[in-house]
Amino acid sequence: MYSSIIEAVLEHGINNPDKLAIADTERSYTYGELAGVISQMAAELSALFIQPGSYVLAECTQDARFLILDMACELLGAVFVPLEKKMTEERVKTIYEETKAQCIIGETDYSQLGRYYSMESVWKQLDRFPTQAYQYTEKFSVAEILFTTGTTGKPKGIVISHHANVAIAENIQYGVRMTSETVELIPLPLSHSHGLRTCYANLLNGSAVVILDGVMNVGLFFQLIDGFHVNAIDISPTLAKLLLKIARKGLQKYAGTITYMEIGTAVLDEDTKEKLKTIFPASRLYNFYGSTEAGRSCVLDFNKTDFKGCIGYPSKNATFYIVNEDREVMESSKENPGLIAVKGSMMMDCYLNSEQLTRDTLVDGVLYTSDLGYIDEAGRVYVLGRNDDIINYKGIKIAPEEIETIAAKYDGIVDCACVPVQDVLCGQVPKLFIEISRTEEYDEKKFMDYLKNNLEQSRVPAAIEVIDKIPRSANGKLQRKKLRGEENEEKK
Amino acid sequence: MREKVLATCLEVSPSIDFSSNELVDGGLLDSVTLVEIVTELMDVFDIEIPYEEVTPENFNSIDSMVKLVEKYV
Repeated sequence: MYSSIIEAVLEHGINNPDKLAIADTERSYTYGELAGVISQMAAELSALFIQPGSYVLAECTQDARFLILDMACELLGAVFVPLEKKMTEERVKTIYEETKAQCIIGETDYSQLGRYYSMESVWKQLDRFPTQAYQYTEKFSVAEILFTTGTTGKPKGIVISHHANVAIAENIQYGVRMTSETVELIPLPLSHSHGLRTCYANLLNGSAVVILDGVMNVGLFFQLIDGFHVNAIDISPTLAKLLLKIARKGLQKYAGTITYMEIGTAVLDEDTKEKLKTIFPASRLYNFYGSTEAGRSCVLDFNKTDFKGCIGYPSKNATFYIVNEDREVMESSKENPGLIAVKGSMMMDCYLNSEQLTRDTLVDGVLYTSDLGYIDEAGRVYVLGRNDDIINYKGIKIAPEEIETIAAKYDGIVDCACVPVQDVLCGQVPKLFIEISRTEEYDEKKFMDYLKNNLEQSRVPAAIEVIDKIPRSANGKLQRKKLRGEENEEKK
Repeated sequence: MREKVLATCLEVSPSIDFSSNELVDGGLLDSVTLVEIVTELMDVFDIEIPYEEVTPENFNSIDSMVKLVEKYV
């Protein structure tokens, strides 16, 4: 077993030097070439006084250079800290200070904050440094710090070891049944764990990654599929919906060449799921459950198995438990769900500079989540929803997605989110927030009649509120907490 | 034609300054808004815009969108 992703890359560089490793819209590298350019980058970083244990903040450039910088840090034993593209100076400053970073490398000018190098200048200087054959012998511990988006509070730095990265990569590699011939297109931001880890999985596997910066250029998306003989795609539900809306014909054209698709970063709604299944009947369609803290811990091929709420089977390196509020393992079922807990070698080390938070979350290597769920007799894991998000209506636990799925199908509803609100008689009742396309055409009574005709009585929202924008993270994740927060404010 | 295209865009997103010539490159249009504009233009003008034409160049300004729509009307 490899001790790091870079160790795998270097070995593939020796054993399969002519095999495609990484490509973007401007450049491509075989494993032999990749090993060479990584060694050059490592030499340049050394010249910039980056050494084992140095923290390197790297603004995502969403191309091969970013991954090369990542791997060069791994090679040196430096700690890679990816930043979102155009991250605000304020947030970068917070992260820079918290990590006591050695430098920032990127495209946005962060020189006011500390030692900064533009990616352009770093890249231009590369040829000054010779390629050299590295034998990977150093066994460093920490690979990277992934900062959460911080929408629920102060951003948390999640410390990930090389060992965990390899375990996560294996979870993906085995979960999607990657082969040596896999060529995976990734238009997802590499500053976030999902896209980055898919890259790692392919690099561990010795297969290929093609990087694209989103799907604003839809034609380019399909050109890359053609040009690199892409046979796998990693997208988010938002990107899937966009492509289904304006490029359905393109997806249908290439459906036969796609062996699998990963859809991650946020919950996949039923409507999008069904459309994908229709267009890709012969492809494996994967949804992973996991978090930055516990990477890709459960996997589901929803073209093969699609039970309501089912998130699939635990990944190669993961074990699932269902526990009660006191964190005691319990027998679970649909009628008697509990809280999901996960353990395995893919777990984070800790939260950076937050011992208490780490102790509260990770106990003896077990991550205790706020997700309500159960495990069936076949070992499949089910998630009803985040405990905070579940609507406890007269003791009946209602997942907000049940209501949102129906509401989203109504003409004129752009987006929606359902949250629990306190009710004297029922304990909690659902409240639905909606974003509509045409205010003048919206008729609340008609919409409510539609909901009553399509939902069980307990699921019909007690109230509906039209808002400008349903809050979602940069990755498309619904942020119900913000809506619950507004509710709490209103009740004060 | 130009007024109708502009009106369609403003219907989708009233807060964006569509006088810009860098709607996509300047980050004023995100991918979700871009797709909404594409689908609205197709509805309003009763045309089909091939996915290959959904490029930053074709949506960077109202004028480029007008050119695109005229091609398929």
